[in-house]
Amino acid sequence: MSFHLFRSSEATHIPGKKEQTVNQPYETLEPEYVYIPAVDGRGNPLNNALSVGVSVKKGTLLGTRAPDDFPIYSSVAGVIEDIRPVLTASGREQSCFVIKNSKVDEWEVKNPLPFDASNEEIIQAIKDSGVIGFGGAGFPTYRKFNSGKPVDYIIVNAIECEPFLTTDYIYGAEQCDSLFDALPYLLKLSGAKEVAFCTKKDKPALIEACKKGMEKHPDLPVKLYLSEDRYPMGYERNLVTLVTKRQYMNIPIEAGCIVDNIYTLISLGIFFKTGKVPTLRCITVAGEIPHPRNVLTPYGALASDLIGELPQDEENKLKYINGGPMNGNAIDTPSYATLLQTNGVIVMKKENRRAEPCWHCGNCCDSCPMDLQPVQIQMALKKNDLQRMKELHAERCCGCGLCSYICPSRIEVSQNVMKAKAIVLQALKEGK
Amino acid sequence: MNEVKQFAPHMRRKQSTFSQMMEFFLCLCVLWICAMIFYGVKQGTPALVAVIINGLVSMAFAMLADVFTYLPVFFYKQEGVSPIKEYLYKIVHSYSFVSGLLIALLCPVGAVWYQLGITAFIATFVMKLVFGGFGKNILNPAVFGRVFYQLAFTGSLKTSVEGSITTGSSITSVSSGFGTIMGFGEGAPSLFDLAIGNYLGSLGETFAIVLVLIAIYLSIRGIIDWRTPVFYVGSLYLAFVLMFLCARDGLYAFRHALAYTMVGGIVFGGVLCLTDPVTTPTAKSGRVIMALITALLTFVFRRVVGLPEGVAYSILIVNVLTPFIDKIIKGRTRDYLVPMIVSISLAVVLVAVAILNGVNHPIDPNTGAFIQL
Repeated sequence: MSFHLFRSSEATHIPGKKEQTVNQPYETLEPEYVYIPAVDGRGNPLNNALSVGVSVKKGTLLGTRAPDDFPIYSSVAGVIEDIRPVLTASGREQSCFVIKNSKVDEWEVKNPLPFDASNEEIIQAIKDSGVIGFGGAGFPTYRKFNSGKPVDYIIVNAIECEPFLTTDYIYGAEQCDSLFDALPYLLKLSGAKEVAFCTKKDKPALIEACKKGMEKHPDLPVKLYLSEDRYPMGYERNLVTLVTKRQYMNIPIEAGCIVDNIYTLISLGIFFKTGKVPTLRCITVAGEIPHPRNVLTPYGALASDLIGELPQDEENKLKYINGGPMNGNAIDTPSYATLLQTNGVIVMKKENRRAEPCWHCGNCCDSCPMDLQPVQIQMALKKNDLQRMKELHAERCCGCGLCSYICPSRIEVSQNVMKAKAIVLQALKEGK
Repeated sequence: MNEVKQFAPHMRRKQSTFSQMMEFFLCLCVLWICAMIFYGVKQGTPALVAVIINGLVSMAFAMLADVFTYLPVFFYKQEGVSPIKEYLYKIVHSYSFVSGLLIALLCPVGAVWYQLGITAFIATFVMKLVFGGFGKNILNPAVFGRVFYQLAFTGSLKTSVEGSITTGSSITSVSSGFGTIMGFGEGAPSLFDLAIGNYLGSLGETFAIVLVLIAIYLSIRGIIDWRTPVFYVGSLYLAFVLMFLCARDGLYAFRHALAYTMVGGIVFGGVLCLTDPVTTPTAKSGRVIMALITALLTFVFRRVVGLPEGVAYSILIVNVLTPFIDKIIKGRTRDYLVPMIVSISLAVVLVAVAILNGVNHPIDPNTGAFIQL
């Protein structure tokens, strides 16, 4: 029940389910093997890739991704044993470096960034760090700072609104100092006037850590923003609105904002200070398993290693979700390699939902954070009515999945809206 | 069961269509029990039996339509699906018993059980199953059933089991038959009686306070949209107030308008019939527009055309308009220019009609009745 007369309510609360892991410190894990993709997202092989038999250290350059020479680093010290297709968290088989972990702490360290580094040096350092969006999207971070547009705000996204996940909360609160190490460089580079630290009201440890950091660094223009507990608060559009009250079309830089996950900025801080590229990833392992916990592990570890003691699954009734349960993709087997941006492995039971006919209850229109009308878009998609889909702004869907979550008839509304979005985007492209 | 592809999101909320329908059905049962108590006390055992039988028969015959329609399930067998299970699933998930009970609650106690059964069967079959089952109907089957009953079995619409003290459906038509004013004036129930439902009418529609409580419960649970009843009943009340004020009723206007709103099916229709999601627009703005159109139509039917009730007809007409209302609401829900303009113009029309009607039919200060010009 909402009191906006016409607009969507923007107050949908979903169960957080974080109690499984929120009170435990993280554990560390050294897997026997790690699997790191030797191809980019489109399947093209890396440039200058190392070959089989080469021994590597932590932070050794394995190769670079094609268009912009984005570096891929080894996460463990050891030997490349093989390059073969392995099922990764993307749900596809990708050709991967198979690296045997020698479990020694040998590093190939880069030079720390000097305090008086120029803007070009900082950009180059962010690119060299190999840091990508650790919230789950995996967008290279340096591109956000490389847009050349004026920036007013750097927004630190510590909301973590996905259920189950607690990595940003546990790891972020502990490593918050590194975040403050990164901020001077980023402020200088972007020219932003303010750093907005956004987190939820029910995350006391993060609020505490941020306040401590603010006391330690009184010269930094950091401001703490607390949001309500609703989904999808961590979506960058909502954060920009929370901080600046501005609206934008496609990417936050249009509203003068750079939104980055707290984990991303912490990794940058560590790199600036010590020259160590991010090799470790804190991953939440939770769901229907005996020992839910947070694991700090070199990225590329198999999900089955993280889960540890595997639950009984004789009839193949479980699914393993890469990321949070609202957005992550489900994989049938636990033996898949995690990626650098993987922040959760959630084990859930497969559900056999039987969809009932849509009865136009309008709950999806009420809950949509983008103020769309998913049910109408779905109807237009069924009639293949492009004009109507354009009228309803299907291209603005953010894919948060709330419409499917809320649908009492268990219809895959979100999937249908995303199909409509693809059709509209295609039409807009061809129209231009 | 065969495996389905697992799409994100992997969590779904607890409420389902089935649970929402069941809660709605339980609310109807509350009204049904109220009717049992009231008629049992007021008219004795035969009336109590009639209330129970009417409800049960109506539900049973509504489900009978599903029982026949879904028989082909047995002939088109699917791999790995037990046909009996599938058959039962289809019958239960057609939710015909809900509209069946609604039909019973929309008719007065004098309705004959077999006539009610025929009505429920035809309403479910013609209005729901022919269109493709649950979720695909254009008109509200229960309201359609009520109108069908009124047209087919007019003589049975009486508010007592035995005898034929009156002809006509409910208190509204009863009193208009006697030439008195609906809901107030001599011989009409007091405001308190109207609120608690201590007068004769259709089974469910008289218990105004219970209906308001049900509306609040269902709105909080998110099963009905509060906009529909609030805008429908509220705008009708304001229109009646304006009408009585212009009819030179003085400060009695507020009291009389309240009585006028509570009597008859306005509250029942607004809370339980007009809110049926299947036949209403999906957007909130569309629901406001729909409620205002229904209010306008009800006002016109009651005061201009001179029908005793008019709620059922106006709901049926606005149900037909629903796809059109959906169509004019373009863009996002935050683009509320068009719905705003439409709602305001509808409100202006309603105000104009109410004022004109009140001026044209002033109240005689001696008798307290409208002077027909």
